[in-house]
Amino acid sequence: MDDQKIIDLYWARSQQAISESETKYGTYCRSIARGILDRTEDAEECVNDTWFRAWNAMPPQRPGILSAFFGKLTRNLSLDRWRRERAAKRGGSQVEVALHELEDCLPDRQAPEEHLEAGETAALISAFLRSQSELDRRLFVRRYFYLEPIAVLAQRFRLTESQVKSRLHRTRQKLKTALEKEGIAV
Amino acid sequence: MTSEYLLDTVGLIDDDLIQDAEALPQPKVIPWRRWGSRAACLALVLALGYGVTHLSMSSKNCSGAAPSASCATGENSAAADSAAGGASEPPQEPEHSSNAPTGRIYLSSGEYILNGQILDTLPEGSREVGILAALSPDAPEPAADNEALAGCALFEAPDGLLYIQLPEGGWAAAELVQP
Repeated sequence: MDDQKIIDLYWARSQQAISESETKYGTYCRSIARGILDRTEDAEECVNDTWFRAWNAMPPQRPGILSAFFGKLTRNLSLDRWRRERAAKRGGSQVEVALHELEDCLPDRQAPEEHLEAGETAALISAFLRSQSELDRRLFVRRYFYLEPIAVLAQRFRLTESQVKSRLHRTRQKLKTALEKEGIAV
Repeated sequence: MTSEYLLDTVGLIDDDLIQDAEALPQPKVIPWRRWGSRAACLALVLALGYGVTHLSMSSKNCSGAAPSASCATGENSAAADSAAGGASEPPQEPEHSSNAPTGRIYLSSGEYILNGQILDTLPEGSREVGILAALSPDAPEPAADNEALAGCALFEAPDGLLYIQLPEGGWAAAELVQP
């Protein structure tokens, strides 16, 4: 079904919106949740919660790109659950690795007076990614938005794991420089 | 700033960037056997071509400005010609500058070799051919036998030369291998 029709179903408060979302984007959202959470049951619950959140968000929202809208919801719900599980010392190793890697991007100079809202930082990251090559941009998004493991990225982009690590490292260093240039600190 | 904050902000990047990463490259897989048969045909053509053009050529015909492999052997050209009769004789390669990458690029349209030239800017009118993969049995097209070039963008200039976008900047030129 066309995305616009699915959105119309949400706006019309039709239960069919959920089943159509599951049919078209269930696999996509499940793959995001499974990349973050170890337990299949937890991932399944996050996907179900995604449709619930979407039901509450539409109306008033009318997403421009429905897949990204669902993807963000699933990612946020999965990361929230991962944080709860980390407190209970369970699973989530792929996120831990990604968090460790992202420490490379943290600016050295702290400037508390120049705090930015998360949305503004995200806008800077978006602008930075647009200035990168297509390959580096996609590698970064698949690694740090989708939390995809290095081995999977290597297979997907037909690179060796060391090439993926090297390219991601260079991109993180460039992002760090870009963030420092903007004087970002939290 | 913490890495958790960064992870959260990546979750807020523009929707089109997320959608762009969904649409992943689906490179065409070229079976190794097809490359193998092409390489065998190319080797045969090279060997025959070399024999036809060089067997009757004496060392006096060689120009000092552009010495060829047979020129370099001087009086031993007969020995060189004899060696060239084998299918394993590689084609002549241009000299490379010390910092320029070396290697070959494989496309369905032919085989290219890096000629050592590095340009600061891409020639006008060039079009992107694709992203280079490392040469392997199921390598997609285009592929390079130099693993360091895997992941680099490949462009074709109007004059027929290929240009590789180097990670450290600059464009490495590659020319079609002539028999």
